[in-house]
Amino acid sequence: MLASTGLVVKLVLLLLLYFSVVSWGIIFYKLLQVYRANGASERFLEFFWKAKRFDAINSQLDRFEHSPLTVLFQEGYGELRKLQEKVEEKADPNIVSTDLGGVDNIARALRRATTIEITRLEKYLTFLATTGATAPFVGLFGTVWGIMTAFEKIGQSGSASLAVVAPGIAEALIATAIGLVAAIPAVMGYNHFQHKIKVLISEMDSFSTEFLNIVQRNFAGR
Amino acid sequence: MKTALTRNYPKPGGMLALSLVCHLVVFLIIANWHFLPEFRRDESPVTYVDMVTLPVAAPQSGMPQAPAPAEAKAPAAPAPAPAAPKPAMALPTKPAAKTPPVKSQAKTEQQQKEAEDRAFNERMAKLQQKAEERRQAAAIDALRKKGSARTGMPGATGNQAGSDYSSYLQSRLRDALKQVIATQTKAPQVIATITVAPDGSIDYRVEKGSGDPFFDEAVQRAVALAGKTLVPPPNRSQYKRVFRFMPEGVK
Repeated sequence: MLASTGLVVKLVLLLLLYFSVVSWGIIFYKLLQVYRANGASERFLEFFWKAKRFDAINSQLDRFEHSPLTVLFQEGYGELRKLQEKVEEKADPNIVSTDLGGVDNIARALRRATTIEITRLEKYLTFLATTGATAPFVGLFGTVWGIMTAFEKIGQSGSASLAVVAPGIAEALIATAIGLVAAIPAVMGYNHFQHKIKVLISEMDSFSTEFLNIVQRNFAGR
Repeated sequence: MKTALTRNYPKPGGMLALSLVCHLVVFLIIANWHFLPEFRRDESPVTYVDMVTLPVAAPQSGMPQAPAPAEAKAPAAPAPAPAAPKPAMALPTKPAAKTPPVKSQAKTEQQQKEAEDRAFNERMAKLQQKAEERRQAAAIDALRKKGSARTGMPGATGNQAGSDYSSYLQSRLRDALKQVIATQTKAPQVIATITVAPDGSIDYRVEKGSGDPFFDEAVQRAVALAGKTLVPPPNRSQYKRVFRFMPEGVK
């Protein structure tokens, strides 16, 4: 059925196939990534609130490598260590002076890590959005082109019987069908992952606030 | 210590390969199940009614018989005997003593006139019936001679109306061709030898193609379609004939 389609329709179908394959690849990838991130974040938070020391948490981070919260912790803890090392060169090693902007430094490090993680989580989602928005139109273009070609053939043959008209139009409509097949999962996946990523972002914001509170409570001003 | 920027995250390449495999599997399933619409025409069997050999609804046309309840109430119509002395219809009889003799004589004359009219009507009816029979016989002969008419009775032996297996097969092929016809050129024509085996299976050999692939395919499909509901030739014999397929019909 597809063998007798024109070159333009074939190219459109190939493009739509590419859209579909890549979209589904991204959907599978993001499903795995978000699923792992959610599970690891839950386990990490549980471990974080049970642990007493930051260095103990830092030594166990490999167990939660898929969680974006570990990245935040790593960045915040790294900045805290740097501040401690700087203070150790001075008098009291246990004081992180807020006057010198130590907590602000940690907050900036956490914000930077959050941005990096959001970028990582949202990576490739633009392709899903593009597929969802453009694949039906690409398919429609293929259909319009196919119908034009079919009508030209009908005009050349001089017969307007249904048996002559129907196959050409059916071949043309395949392009719209495949465009929709590519677009619908892409739109659904895009909306689903946007929601999941929004939840992860709010978790990261909460964790950053909690981390800064702990730092200020336990290290600053001592 | 790895930072957020130096972390190695998994790449989506493996998932793209998985997606490609899934698409391939779906395509193979669809291709093997012939899931895509082929836009076949409705090939419901055609029912044929032989108008020539239909049983006659009223064999005694012009002689309607009185229904049974009427017979119970009144005496039946008299037998076709013009010289019947008694009146045919059972008129209410009055006592003879009260009627004068002149009136009785006039009444007798009236009854005789009615009897004559009735006899005349009967003769006319018989003549009309004979004329109708002759007309029907002539029509049957005309249809039998006319090869292209749809008069075929496939199981006939050749001694009665509509016994032409050729006409039967031709009409089936023509109807099948109408259902599947597709042309690309102006006036395509296919000459083919059709062979119907004693078991009713049809065989098809193109003697001369039309040069129009659409029409050639349509003829092939028409033969296959006609062969689905074909009745075997009479007397368990093989039937073979050359037909000419055109968009206007089959000859």
